[in-house]
Parts: sequence; C-alpha cells; structure tokens
Amino acid sequence: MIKIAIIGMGKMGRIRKETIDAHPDCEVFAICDVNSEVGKEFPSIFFDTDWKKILELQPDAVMVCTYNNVIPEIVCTALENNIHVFSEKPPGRSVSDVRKMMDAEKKSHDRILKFGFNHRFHYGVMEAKAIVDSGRYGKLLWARGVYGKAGGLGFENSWRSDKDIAGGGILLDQGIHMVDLLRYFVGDFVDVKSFVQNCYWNSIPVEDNAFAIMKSAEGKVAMLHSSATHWKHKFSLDLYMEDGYLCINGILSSTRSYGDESITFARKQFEDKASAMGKPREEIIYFDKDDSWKHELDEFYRCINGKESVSIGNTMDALRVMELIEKIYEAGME
Amino acid sequence: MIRHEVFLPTIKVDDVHHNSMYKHELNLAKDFVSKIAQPTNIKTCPISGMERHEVLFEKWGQRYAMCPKTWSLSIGTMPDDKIMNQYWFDSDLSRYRGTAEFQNASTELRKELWTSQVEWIEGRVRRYLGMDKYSVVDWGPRMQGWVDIVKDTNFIKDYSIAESLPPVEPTFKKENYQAVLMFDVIQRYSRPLELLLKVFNSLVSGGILLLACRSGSGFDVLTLGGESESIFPLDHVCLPSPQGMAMLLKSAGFEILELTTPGLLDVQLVKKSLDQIPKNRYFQRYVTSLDDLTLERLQGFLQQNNLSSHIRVVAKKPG
Repeated sequence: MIKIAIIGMGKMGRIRKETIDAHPDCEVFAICDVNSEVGKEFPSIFFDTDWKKILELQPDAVMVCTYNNVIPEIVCTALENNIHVFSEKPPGRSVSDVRKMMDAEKKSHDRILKFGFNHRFHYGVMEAKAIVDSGRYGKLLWARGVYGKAGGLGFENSWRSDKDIAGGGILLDQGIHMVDLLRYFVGDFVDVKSFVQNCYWNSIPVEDNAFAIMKSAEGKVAMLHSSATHWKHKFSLDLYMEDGYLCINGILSSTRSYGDESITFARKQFEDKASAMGKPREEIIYFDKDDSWKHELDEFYRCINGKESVSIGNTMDALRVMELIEKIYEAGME
Repeated sequence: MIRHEVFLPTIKVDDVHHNSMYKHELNLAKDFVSKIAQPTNIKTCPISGMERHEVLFEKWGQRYAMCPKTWSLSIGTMPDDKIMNQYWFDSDLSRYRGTAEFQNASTELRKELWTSQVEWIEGRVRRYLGMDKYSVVDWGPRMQGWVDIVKDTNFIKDYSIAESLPPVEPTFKKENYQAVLMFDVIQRYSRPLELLLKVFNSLVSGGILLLACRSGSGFDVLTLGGESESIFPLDHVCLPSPQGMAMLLKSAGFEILELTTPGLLDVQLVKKSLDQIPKNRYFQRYVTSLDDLTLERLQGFLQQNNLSSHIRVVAKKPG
C-alpha cells in the first residue's frame, strides 16, 4: 500500500483524494491545507496546515495541489526527503522553477517526479494518439488547438489573476494543457510567433488571451488559442495528416461545460469518392467517461513500483512546455 | 463507455444487396425454412435463460420471441443442429451462396463497406494492442472476397479461419490468438454463449474480440418485424439486443471495451419497406416520409444511442 499525502485541498486536491480512495493499492495518509477548517472534513486522516510537518511524517509519496508559487519549494523539499512527488501543473511559474525541480530530482536518484498533464489520458486524446501513431493517414501536416473558458465572477481578484502567485495568465493556467498536447502530437517547436493580450480583463496583470503560431524543426505548423474570454467553454484539437484528419471536440469535465468529448476522423476523399467535395465519410466516437485522473494515478503507482519510468508528465515534458510558454510570452509581448 | 456515429452517405441498401440475386437468395431461404418444423411452443431465451411469453412476430412459420430481460429476439424453438448444418452446408441456398457469381457480385458491392470495416479493425487493434503485427482468427466468414481483403492487411502476421461457410475453407489451428474477428456470425448460432466460450478459449490473455452482428432491438427490426426483408429466420436465429450482447460477453468472461450500434441502414430499410408497414403504424409511416436530411440525422441519433440494428463490440480477455 502506497501512503500518499495531499498538500492543498482545493478543487484538485479533492479530485486527487477521490481517485486515491478508489485505488486498491494507494491510500491518503495525511492532508495539508492552509485553511485549518479543512481538517474537520476528514477527521480520520492526519491533518496539518504546515506542509513541512506533513513531509516529516515520511509518506511514500506526496501530491502537490497548491498555488503555483509554492510548488517548487514543496517539490524540492519532498524529493530531498526521499519522497516521491506528483505535482499539479503548471510546474512552477517559470523555466528556472522547472530546472530547480529537475536538479532536486537528479539528486534524489530514484525518486519519481511526475506532473499532472491529465489531458493526455483523456480517451479522445488516447484515441487520437493511436490513430496518428498508426500512420494510417500518413504524416502529420499541421495542428490547431483551441482551449478557452469564461473568466467568470471574481476573476480579477482570483489567485489565478495574481502574477506573483500564478506566474502567468490563462496560457499558463489552462492553455498549458493544449501546449502540452500540441507538443505531444507535433513535436518540439523551434519558431514561435504570438500575440499575448488582455482583450477584456484589462485590470489584471496577466493575459486573458494568447494566440500563437509555432513551427517545428520539420516545418510542421501548429496554431494555438488560449482564452479566458471564451464565454462558451471550448476545447478543440484538429490534426490534419496527408491522407486524413481527426478532430477532438469537447473534453469531459465535472460540469460538462466543454460539451461531450468526441473524436471525429476520416480518410480524405475527393469528388470521385465523396458525395460532395469536402464531405468525406466520417466516423465519430463519443466518450462518456473521464478516467484520466485514474490513469494518471495508475501510471504514478507503476513508476513508484519501478515497473516503468514516467512517460507522461515527466520533467523533460515540463521543461519543454515551460520553455515554449516563455517563448510565447516573449514573442507576444514584444 | 463510448458511442459511435458513422457518416457514410454513399452507402445505400441496394449497395449491400444485389436486387435480383437477393430475391433469388430470399426465395431459396424461404423455401427451405417453410419446409422445416414450425413449433408453436416457446423455449427459454438462449441469452438470458429467462422464460419468454411474448412473440413479437412470425416469419416463414418461425416465431420470434422476445426476452423480457434484455429485449433480445430469437426463434422460439431453435431448429436442431442437423437442420442448421443442412441449411448452411447442404442446401440449394448454401450452394447458391457458394457460387462464383454470388461471391463476386457480393464482393463488388461490399468492397467499400469491407474496406471501412478493415480500417475499423485496424484502428481498434492499434488502440488496444499497440503497434505490431498480430495473430488473428477470423471466425465464421462466408465471403472469399472479405477473406482476401483481411488476410493482406499490415497488422496481421498470422491469419486463420474458423467455422467458415462455403466456399471459404477453414484453416484454424488449435492455439491461442491475439485477436478474433467475428462478423455477422453470432446471429446464426442457436447457442451463442457456447460459441463465445469457444472464442474466449482461443484468445491469449489480454487478447481482443472484434464482433459485429444484427441486433434484435434495432430500429428497423422493431419497426418492420416480420415484414423486414433483411431477416432470414435461419440466418438470424438469435438477435441479441445491446443489453443481451453485454450479458453474453460477461457470461463468457469478457471485459467489454466498446459496445455500440453504428448501423447505417435502419432508416433506409424501413423506408424501402414502407408499403409493408401496416396503415395503423402512423409513427413509422410519418417518420419515413421525412426528407433525406432529417432521416440522415435520425440514423445518427439511432447510432449514437445504441438503437440501430447493427451491433459492434470490442471485448477483451482479461489478463
């Protein structure tokens, strides 16, 4: 049984707890939150408001579900104390944060450090990866990803809009998932053009929209739009290949505000085959279940047991994504 | 867990069946079935084992009874194995279906559908087994054209054929395979669980079954019943509903990865048989009189909600 401590019992901490509770070989060993009232909700679990005291208990692993600004310190301290770490995204606020955590990971020798890029474990994304990797539609030509949400009431005063705490705006908060997915499908990007703007929430010190066009070393281009002014929530990822295409539309969430999660795919057909040009035979798969949290924990568990190394959300993924995000910020703010 | 919708506007009913040949086939089947026993008693459901009392329709003297638990349909009293063997291997119908004329014409018509089906198989194999080549057994094929397409696909390294119908020759060796294909087969077996147990035992642990068959709770079957031209009683002795199929698979030990009904033809089949629909079935008559775009959307709705009469399954042998 792997004993896991959760640090930070906000929305993500609670999702992680539910997932751990459902895992046959993991248990929540201790909980930490800056709000002392939270402890009363979990009377049978050790609770403290000080994360250092939680680490002193020597859990097997810790899940870091805190604000972005404290992630690096907690991650590094846990690794120094020989504790495996799963941390929510973003991996800190900057590339230098990631490098610090990578150093701690190196010094710890065999401790696992994994970051939460759960979107790769959504069934729509897994299906897309299988199609792209099978090569049945040929090589990837280009990609386009949109991930947007509505900022909502109190957005200006939220911690997400505080540059010191969050480190960045919607791109670093939510857009990071799309950046990760574009890297996952296209590869690393060497050239970035972008606009990073405040289109609506003008009083906040971080962006509410980021638009980027990125090119890989092989010349594949990806477009990205990350938005906090998408009044209708939206997730879409289009991948066009030589002989076909696929589009992931929607992503399952607890509120279903991003709609049904589906993947539409088709082989290209010209007018000799299709009933109308540009209207090929399509197949759509709708997914009714989000097991991404479970799959993510399963992978973390297998890694801790030495059965595999971290393939999704490892520190190299974290570093590359943060480097790309910094490039988008840099290019977009010129 | 998942739902399917397939958009294939170029496929029409007449693309699947050659009209005059289909009529001949139908007459031969009718002739055979009309001469066998026509029992009136209703035995328990071969899927759930439940007592059955409701006869949904009768065709060529065979009564189709409904399972009260799963809504599956099957013949009330199954013909014995001798009759079934004669039907499939030693009848005018089986000989006609084995002719080059029949095989070639069917292959020509269904090539596009089969190509899509093979692409689906490859997609599912890649999704669940990964990027490699696999040993595959094709259970019960009856079209040489289908076999020719499947055996040359790049994800298969070893292709065997089990319990095929003429003219396809079986090549099955008793060993364990990584995937089993079983298309339009289960519907002709009077003991479907027995069949699935055999299939289960022929798979390696972690191996997958890819299956498709007619459903007894699909739109065209429920709407047309005995008037459905696409139901031949001995070709379709057992028509599981999605619930019935799930029950069978679980009873055989499988873990269901996908169970969907991406059928393309329900609405077209009903529309084609509009003259057969009794006048008092106002709903069916009205629906099928709608414009093509609406009917296309209706077919999409049937597909998405497991209401079409074509079931597709991916199931795994645990381990």
